[in-house]
Amino acid sequence: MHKNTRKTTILALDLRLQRFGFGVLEGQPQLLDWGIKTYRATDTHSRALVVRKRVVPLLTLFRPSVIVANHVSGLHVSRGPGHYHIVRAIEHEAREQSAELILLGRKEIQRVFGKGGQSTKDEIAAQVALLFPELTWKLPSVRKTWESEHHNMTLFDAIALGITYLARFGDVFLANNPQPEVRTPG
Amino acid sequence: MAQKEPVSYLRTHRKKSGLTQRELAHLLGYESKSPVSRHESAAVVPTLSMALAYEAIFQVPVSELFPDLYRTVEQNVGARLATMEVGLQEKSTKGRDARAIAQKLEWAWARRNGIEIWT
Repeated sequence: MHKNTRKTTILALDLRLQRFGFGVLEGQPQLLDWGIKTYRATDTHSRALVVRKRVVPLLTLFRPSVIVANHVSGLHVSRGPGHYHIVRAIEHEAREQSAELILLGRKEIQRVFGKGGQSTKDEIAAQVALLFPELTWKLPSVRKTWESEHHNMTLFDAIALGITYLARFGDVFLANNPQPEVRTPG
Repeated sequence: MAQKEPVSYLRTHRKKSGLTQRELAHLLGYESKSPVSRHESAAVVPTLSMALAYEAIFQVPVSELFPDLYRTVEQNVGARLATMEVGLQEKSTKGRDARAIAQKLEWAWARRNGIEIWT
């Protein structure tokens, strides 16, 4: 595990079944790149292939030493198997690039973003936008209960994952929060 | 695990500015966005005038925009300079040639130690 995150490059991925949001962070933290990549695939095998195709250019360009992805086990059982295959594909690519894959759950993110783990996605996204003003124009308006989630929310979820990882070393804005638990795949 | 730097920070600076690849290409004098795309992905090394144009646009030194390329060039030059120094030290000459060699060796030593002696 990295003791010094000042120059550690992190690729944070919020993996969904049809798209993923990503954020590339350098530990001060500085946001190097961000975006959303979509993939339309019917079966798990071809989906894993497309995900790899989308992730590899990011790994080649930014050469992250850590990849942080979302852990969904137990939360959304219906997308569990598909998510598992995507994580396996990314784990393979991480190994190829000598990067470490870390999975963080929703609870860890909420713990880092305060309010006793009761922060909503919208509140977390707003905190991310405060930290990185260049994302303010992408911040979705607060979701009404009858509305579906905004397309851009995956981007903020990804960056929140990266910040959660960095917060473990206490060099991010939320120094007083407890350190999140970390799961490694496998 | 060794910490690796990103190949290029061009994309980072472009996205922070809010410019699209096409808009940046326009600032560089291109109609198509593909040269910018190739430079961002480090598939193609930009020409000197392009690199200087990037520096002028983002007000960031070229060596910081393309740290990986800069490091490679720096290492190659350093290796060749070391070889040259060894060659100069092995030469045995007198008179003007000796003074010229002494000057080069002195410059190489000062450069290695970060000392500016010719100001």
